[in-house]
Amino acid sequence: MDDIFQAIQLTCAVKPLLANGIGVALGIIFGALPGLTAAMGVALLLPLTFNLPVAEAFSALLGMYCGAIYGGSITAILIGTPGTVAAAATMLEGPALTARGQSKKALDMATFASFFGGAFSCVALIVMAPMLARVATAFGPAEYFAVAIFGMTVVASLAAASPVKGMLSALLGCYCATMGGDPITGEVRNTYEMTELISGFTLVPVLVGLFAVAQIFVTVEDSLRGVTRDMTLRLSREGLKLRDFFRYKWNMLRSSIIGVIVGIIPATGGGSASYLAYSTAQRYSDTPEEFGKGTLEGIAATESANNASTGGTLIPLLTLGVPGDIVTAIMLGALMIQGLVPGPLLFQNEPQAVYSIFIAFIISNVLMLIIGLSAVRSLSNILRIPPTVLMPCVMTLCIIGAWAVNTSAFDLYTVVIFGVLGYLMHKVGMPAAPLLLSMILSPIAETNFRRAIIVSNGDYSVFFTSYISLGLLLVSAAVAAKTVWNEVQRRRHLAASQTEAS
Amino acid sequence: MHNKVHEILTGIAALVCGGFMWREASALPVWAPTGELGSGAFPKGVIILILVFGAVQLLQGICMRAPAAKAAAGKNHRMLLFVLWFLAYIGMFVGGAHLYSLLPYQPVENNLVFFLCTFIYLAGALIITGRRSKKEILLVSLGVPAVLVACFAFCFQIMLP
Amino acid sequence: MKKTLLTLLAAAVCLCGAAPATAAYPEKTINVIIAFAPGGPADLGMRVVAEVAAKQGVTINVTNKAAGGGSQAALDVLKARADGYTVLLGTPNLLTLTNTKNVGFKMSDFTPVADITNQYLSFCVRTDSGIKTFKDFVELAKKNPGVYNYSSPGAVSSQRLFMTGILNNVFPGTDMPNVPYSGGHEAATALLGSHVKADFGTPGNTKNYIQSGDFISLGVSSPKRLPELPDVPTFAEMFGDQYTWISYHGLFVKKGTPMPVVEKLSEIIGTAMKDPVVAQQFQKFGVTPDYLNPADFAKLVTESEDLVKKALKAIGMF
Repeated sequence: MDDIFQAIQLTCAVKPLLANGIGVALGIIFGALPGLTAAMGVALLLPLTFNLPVAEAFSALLGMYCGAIYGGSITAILIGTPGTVAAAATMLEGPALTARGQSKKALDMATFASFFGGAFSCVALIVMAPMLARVATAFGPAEYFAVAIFGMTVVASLAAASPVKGMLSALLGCYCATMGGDPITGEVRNTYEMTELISGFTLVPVLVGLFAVAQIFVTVEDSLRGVTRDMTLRLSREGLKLRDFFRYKWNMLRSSIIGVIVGIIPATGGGSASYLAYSTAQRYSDTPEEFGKGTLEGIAATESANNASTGGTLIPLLTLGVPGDIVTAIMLGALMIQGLVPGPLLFQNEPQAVYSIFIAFIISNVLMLIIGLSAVRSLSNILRIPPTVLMPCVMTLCIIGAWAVNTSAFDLYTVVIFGVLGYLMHKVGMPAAPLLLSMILSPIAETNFRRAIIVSNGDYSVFFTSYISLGLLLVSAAVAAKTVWNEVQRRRHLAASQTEAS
Repeated sequence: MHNKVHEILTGIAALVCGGFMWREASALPVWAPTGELGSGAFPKGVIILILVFGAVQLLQGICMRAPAAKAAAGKNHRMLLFVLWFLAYIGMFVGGAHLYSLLPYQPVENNLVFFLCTFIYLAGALIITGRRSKKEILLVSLGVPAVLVACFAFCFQIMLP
Repeated sequence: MKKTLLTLLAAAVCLCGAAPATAAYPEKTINVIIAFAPGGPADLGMRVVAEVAAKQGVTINVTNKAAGGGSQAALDVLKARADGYTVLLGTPNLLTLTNTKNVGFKMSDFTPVADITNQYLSFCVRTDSGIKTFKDFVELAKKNPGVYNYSSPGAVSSQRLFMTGILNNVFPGTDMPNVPYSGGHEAATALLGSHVKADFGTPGNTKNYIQSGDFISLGVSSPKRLPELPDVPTFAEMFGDQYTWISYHGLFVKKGTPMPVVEKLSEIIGTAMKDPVVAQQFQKFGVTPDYLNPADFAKLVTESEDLVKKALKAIGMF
């Protein structure tokens, strides 16, 4: 108990609070700018924390992490370009809400949902960390394969509207993911003799190109064609009322649970969590056909899931020394600088430091809520700028962001290629989300399938002998079947009502 | 949104790309010498599926009832110009950075090329999208790079060419 | 008259360009490009050295470029001028890379300057497996072909090459599959979850598990026993001196950089590394400051390249 009080004292002092606040503010900016990610922000802050005490250092780093994962939703909603991978799913609902003049409601929802997710994961972290940690190590190659397959079922629901094109999009994503070094044999494949492709496409430029740049092209085209969205008239003054917020409480709870669990599984993060939560919310919703046209329910799901995954990734980091995603891998370095060895002994040897980290995380979420709500009021004013001026500026931001990842010219080419590709896909009605999702998930699926076979020494039944793996595969099959069934039913209804009308 | 020409083109594009991909991946082994799945198994499977779906797409497109012709959008050439100008920006950026690093004497270590290229790009982009006020164009195309350079180069210390 | 003036002007401009090379080095910021991802102990170590070097009035700017397995970082250094202001921090991974694929350069295009830190390989099993020595593990692998496997941080990692060398020369005919992961953390986690039978990684990644008693190390690849693992025999002890592997993390400049510049840079690094702050911080990350001057470092690199080539030939990738 003593340790907890000490920890509270340490983290609530002026300097750590200030560090936390600056971290959150910077994090929101980083998250909002397309191309700048949470990982980059944390990596940049890391050297600055070398000489700071634990409470301050982690206040800053955790603030940056929470803020960045939340910040991505701001640009996703207002401008239609995702700031981070984690916010890509928010783009399925955000821009539609803005077009209806409900941008402020959407932003408020995103802020509250992010806070809910983050706070929920704090509770999970504090109460159940050691127990949940076992989940992280229970996942071997077969289980990872099953998880990836489960994630791919989300692709099925995203592609439901135009199945053939959706499948092509997903398959293209799978192919792009195979370009580069084979993770099992080390051979280089599908690189078309380009040395820059030896490690494949970097994900961030792909995201920036496919969603941000493509969206910029589309927006510019719309305004050139005279399809103005007349933003100035529709700047919504109406915020979200608390009553509306509570309507989605079960949704957010469910999504947060998904977020925490996906966060715990190492190598999966906010991006996958938000897509999974989104598609689950759609299945359980009373109005599934509203999804995709601008419903707050969707934003509640995606934003609470991706912030819940931040706490989730901290669990294996602190309890086992296993990073849950790239950001926590960098934080591992921060722990080492402080002389804290993460692992099973950390809780016993340094309880004060651990509690400081927990409390700093809670404070980060609270600050995120406060700063987010106040920032959001003024941010909607960005919509006042006519798109023909705003879009080129956002374009330059995208370029800087993509450059900042690796200072590599090839990354910029990636942005261009995927930008043009995304624009063309939009014109022919091919959904882009399946491409991104399969680019993230298919390497996990392929690599772990082959690893599982190596470990089991050629025994293919290993996917069915593990409970977790078998369970996930069955659920995936069920979900995929249901999605197909729903779509078939929908078309029958549509055809029936059309023949009735004619 | 379902335009017959677009559907057919998509199908053809899928088949053509699938062909190129197959050529590149054909050398990869499906079975590794040690008896497990090789590096070629998954890519080849994906490519085969792409070809299959591409064919389906093409057939769907051909069999589709052609809807009433849409009114052709007028300003398409402007859009093309915008896209090309963006490509030019990237080209200027990368080429400029390379040339600059070859110069024997560099007055400013960082940021110069980026500033110039962004300025040129923004000015051009704003003209293409139809803004007319000279003051506005100058303000934006000078202001934005200035702010960006200030933030990134000085606050975050990320090298810009 | 005009012509002479013009030629004089041209000559002056050229001289301006030539002048900095012979002026006192270092005059401006030295850029170190790290050929691997940030956050790891060697990366942190380099940053500490860079900070300490500031005490000598030298500014060192550190960036990472992990793209292409480190080849992009190397190519960037080769694209710049050979004046000692663009420096590569590389590891033996580049040796593997250049000898298996055509990446557009060879390590002989670089001049080694100084070694910063060395990491070694460590072979661990779970304590509850009851296996006590490396030989026991191999015996079990011989009796159960394909069942006893080990995880390693990469498909063509130093660990895999090293293990292939040992198995082929000392225990021929043993089927001990390599299960590749994408990093030391993932490989260690796999052992933690008992998904593999052993983890061939680095002492740094497995330190906390050894401390907590979950893992036990059966062998290390350093020339002498490591101070933090005094009871663990080295592979050299067990099988012969040629079974050492030193994963250096050192600085390289483009070949053609004038020797005085190379020596000055090495001196700056050497002085910085003698600072007690460096030793203190390095210990926190779990690495040791292992400074080597250009000549010794060059020898280490050549030896490592020979080992890599031999091992690659053994697995058929060279």
